[in-house]
Amino acid sequence: MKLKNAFQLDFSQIKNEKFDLIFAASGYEKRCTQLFEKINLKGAKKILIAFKEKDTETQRIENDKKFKKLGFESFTAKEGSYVEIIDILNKVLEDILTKKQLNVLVDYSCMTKVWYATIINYFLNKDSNIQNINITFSYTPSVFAEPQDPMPNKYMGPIPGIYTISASNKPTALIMGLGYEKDRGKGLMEYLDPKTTFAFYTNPALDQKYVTAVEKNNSQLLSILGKSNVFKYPLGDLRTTDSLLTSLCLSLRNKYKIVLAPLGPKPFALMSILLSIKFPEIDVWRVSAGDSGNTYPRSPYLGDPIICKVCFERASIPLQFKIINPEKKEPVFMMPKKVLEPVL
Amino acid sequence: MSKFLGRWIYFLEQKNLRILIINSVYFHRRENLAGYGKIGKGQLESIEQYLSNHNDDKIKIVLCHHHILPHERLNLGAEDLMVNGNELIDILNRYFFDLVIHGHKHDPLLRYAPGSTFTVPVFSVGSFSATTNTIITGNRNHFHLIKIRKIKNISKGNIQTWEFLPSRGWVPADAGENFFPVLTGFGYRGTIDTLVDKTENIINKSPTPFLDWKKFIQKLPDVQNLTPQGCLEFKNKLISKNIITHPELPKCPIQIGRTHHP
Amino acid sequence: MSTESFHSTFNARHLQPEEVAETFIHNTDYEELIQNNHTVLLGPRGCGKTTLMKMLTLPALNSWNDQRAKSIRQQISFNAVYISTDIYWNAQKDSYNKQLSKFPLYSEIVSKVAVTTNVFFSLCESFENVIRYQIKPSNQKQEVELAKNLIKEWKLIPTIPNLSMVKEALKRRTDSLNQHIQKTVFNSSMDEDIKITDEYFYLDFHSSTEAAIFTFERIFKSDKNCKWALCFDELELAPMWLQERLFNSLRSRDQKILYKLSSSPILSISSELAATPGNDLKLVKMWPYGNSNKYHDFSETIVRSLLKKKFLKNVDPEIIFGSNPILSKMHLQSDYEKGGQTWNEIIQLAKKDSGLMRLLKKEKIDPNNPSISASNKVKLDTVLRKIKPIVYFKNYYRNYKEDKQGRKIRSRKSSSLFYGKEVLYKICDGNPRWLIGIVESILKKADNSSISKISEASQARVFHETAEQFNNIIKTIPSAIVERKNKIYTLAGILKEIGDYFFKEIVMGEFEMDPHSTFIIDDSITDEFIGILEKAVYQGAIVLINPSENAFDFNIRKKRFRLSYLFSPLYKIPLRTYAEIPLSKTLTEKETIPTQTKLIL
Repeated sequence: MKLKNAFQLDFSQIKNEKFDLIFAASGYEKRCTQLFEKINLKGAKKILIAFKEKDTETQRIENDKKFKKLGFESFTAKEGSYVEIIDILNKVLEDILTKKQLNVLVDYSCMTKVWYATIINYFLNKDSNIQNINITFSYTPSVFAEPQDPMPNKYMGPIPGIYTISASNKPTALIMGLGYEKDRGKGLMEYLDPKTTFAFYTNPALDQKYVTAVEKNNSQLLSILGKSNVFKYPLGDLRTTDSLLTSLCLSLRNKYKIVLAPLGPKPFALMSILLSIKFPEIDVWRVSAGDSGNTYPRSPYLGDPIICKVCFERASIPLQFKIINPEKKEPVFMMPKKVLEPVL
Repeated sequence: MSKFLGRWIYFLEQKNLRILIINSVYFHRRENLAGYGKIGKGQLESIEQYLSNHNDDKIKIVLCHHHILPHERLNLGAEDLMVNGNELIDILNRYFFDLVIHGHKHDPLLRYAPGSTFTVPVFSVGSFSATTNTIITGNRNHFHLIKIRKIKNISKGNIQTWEFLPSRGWVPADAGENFFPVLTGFGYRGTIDTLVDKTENIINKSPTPFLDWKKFIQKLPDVQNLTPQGCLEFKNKLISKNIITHPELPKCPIQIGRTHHP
Repeated sequence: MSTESFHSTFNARHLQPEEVAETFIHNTDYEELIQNNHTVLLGPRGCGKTTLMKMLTLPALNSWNDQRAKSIRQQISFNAVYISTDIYWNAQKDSYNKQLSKFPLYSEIVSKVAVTTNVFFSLCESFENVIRYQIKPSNQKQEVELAKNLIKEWKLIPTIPNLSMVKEALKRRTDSLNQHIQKTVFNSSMDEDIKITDEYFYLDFHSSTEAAIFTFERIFKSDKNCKWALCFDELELAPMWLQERLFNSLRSRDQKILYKLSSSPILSISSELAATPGNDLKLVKMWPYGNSNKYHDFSETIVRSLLKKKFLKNVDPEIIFGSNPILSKMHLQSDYEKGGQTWNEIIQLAKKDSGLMRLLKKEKIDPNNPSISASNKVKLDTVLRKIKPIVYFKNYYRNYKEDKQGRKIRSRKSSSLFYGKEVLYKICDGNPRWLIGIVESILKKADNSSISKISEASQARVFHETAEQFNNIIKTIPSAIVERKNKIYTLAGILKEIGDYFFKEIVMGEFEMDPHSTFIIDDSITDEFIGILEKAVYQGAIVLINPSENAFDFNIRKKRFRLSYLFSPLYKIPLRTYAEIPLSKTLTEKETIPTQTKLIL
């Protein structure tokens, strides 16, 4: 499977869409169920992945109840687990893999990067009959909550499946999507020791307090990097984010081994993961305090979710062609239609 | 002398250059008419008459907005094709036009028009500044530098392309497999097999089974005048003869050589 | 003042060998490394191991502009193959091994392929270097013949037979490997399900390298007596099987291949596997221990070179940085004589500190006139020099207290005890990366046109900020924590406890001529804490004072350490090694992190 293209959509474009498969996550955040109260769930196989951690929190219990009422089939996995996600997918998708086309919805608002990266990689790499798959990713932003002091890092490294072994000696370029917990970005930069570093952060955000918090808690890093290495992107505008991020990666990839490290809002993380799928030489890292991480209530922002639809297609067919020679009056040169419309 | 034919057709005449400029939106007076391009039959007649009175070996280029060949890939649609475009192509072929340049589709694509003898190359130049809706793989903005050389009515062209990266500015085009190559061309009218045979001879005569690409091009300059599709065919035929370039065409190669099979 | 990223600016890992050579300063460790035997460089991050390794390569040697360069080029009797450890080699490492946890055999094979491919790539680069710098004149046909051999022996996909295309084929191999891994993970459930048909999965890097070298020598008719040194850098990042294999290889004397290895001061492998240093194996420990002055001299050379670069002429470091009264060896006699600075400090403190008063009286030194007479000269060494740093620190921090709420009052953010060239040479523990970073930061304050002393306060500020930066790095190390029943112990927290303990004892406590400033890892320290302390050793946060004499160290238990001197401005302790104490005594029973919300990175 290859990534063909992706689009940002309005919520109204997917509200009544019929999905074959829906993935959701249940944790302690208030926004876990927000999307599913608004969309069409009919006919879809509904899979819930619930965190093994913090499962006694009040909001979590409430979320679980809501999902059960909505008809979700529930499984549990650890926050950083890759193998458990694959096991779940193997269990629930056996029949679905025989289909030729698939329309999937993933609400990744409450998922960890490992989870939704694994879901994407699963469909890309699992042997199946699927020829085309559309995955719609939905993200419900949350109301601003004051940043807490960050907990110690338990994990700082590549997302499983989104890294590559390489045989060259290119220096590393680190591109970070900053979050608002203090100095996480700077810490990663010191640890990874790249040759050059760039930072992205959300501005404008839904709440200007977020921007202030990011700038304050990353002030030293931003001052070290300087204006030319810092980019601002609007949270809800995936096209602008992609345009800046993709173009930066393309300008660096010949000289550097690129590591993307999305530490902040998840739409940037999704863009990063999709970019690394399109350009496999790009790695994506995560920095996590694991189950010791801070707990934020994450009440849902009462606007529309941010929607990104990604189209994948099975890699195409061998070439066939005829030869031209206008002077010798041979048939006109043309490529078969499928090659004229290359898989992107 | 440059001349208007009516209000919507203009011939720009210079010493060695003739540019036929066609306004394919002249009739867009109502919404229902604005969904496609068009050249009128009367306009075609006046163009043909003009050309029959000016049959020389100038470099001849057409500039128009709409596409004259179907351009439906990437879900770009079919309904906006220039009406009477086929008839225009016939005329251009008969009078050995060297290049058609058009816009509208925002998707760079270079290919030959259909025809049985001479066929004109048609170049959709993409867009300088329009943005697209797709992400991750969205098309970029381009500009091109086109060089055409015409000797005894045979023209050959090279196109150099730049693309815009928002974080970096204008850079030579990436030439990845799905994007417009940084260097391409048109005007080679022989067969790909001939080029492949010549390539084999050059490599066989070389003291080593590989050559620096610049030296190879000096020996076989016609390779620079292949369209992207022609280039792709050339590459694949070379592979069948165990000859490859690095980097792979249509990127700019540094070397070409025969692979070793233990 | 903004300080650059601590490590990135001066990291040799980012530099090509030619760039490393531009600023390389010859030192005794390099002399050891260029000998015709196996060598192991041991040292913390940033101590210069990568620089030395890269200086073995032909591009570096041929770019090095130094009076010794020619003779050293002639002296080196091997061709170096520099192999940098890729952080991703280790498919078994705990950060991302979970992906392949169901496939342990496959995981090991993948790891070996990654290493082997990297070695082959580096070997091709070395072949190119030898052809370029040593084989004169070379002809392309020889390269074609070599490449054809490599394509065959290394089971590469057919490609154009030259070295650059062989390297490209190796890159394509890793692409295939990555795809193979992804396909395997999602479509297999155990090792037995996995089909490996490509022969390259089973190549061995040592034997294949040796064969390639023989082929090269045959084709190019190069000196058969010349050996080839495989230089494996940063082995602490390498897979365990590779570390074990390489250290085991040091036992044997191969006719063709030498090993030059670099690693952290404490090895993770089993002690049974490592060779014993001797004639065929040299250990180079790149940090200051014992009484050696080598890093002092080396640091001074670096500083002088940086000053020359800044001011475009030779400048005495003392002019720019001044001299530190505690560490200076100049004017020794007068310093302790009546009216001297130290003489005054002792008197001042003795008036307030009964412990010092008692000590002086016991040593028959007049607390109102602590100068040394001709008959009493021995006291200069046995007493006064020993107590000098403590006296200065106690005087300086005399008013340092905490109020009832535990808040520090009259504290000074930057300590003006930390300035002067002697501090500069000592505080970095021989680590060139830190030293260059600090000097460059201090020199930013200097005016290019006038060569004059930079204020003590400015220098102290840089030292203090560097200490904080270093501390922040320690805080970010992943998994440098121990969790126990809702308590979290971090490495940074432990180091702080140690630092605070010594501060309280040396500076705030009863006057002792021989206080504690070093610690032994005693048996009360559990294995979990040992794990994170080993990370501290690698980072250079704690320094091994009593490494095994001409032998490897495998375990930090029962070893003696001190905090890096770089922490001294933060914890306000002298740049001096005093007596040892069991580590467990410095760590209190209370929670290291009282509540989660108080933890700050």
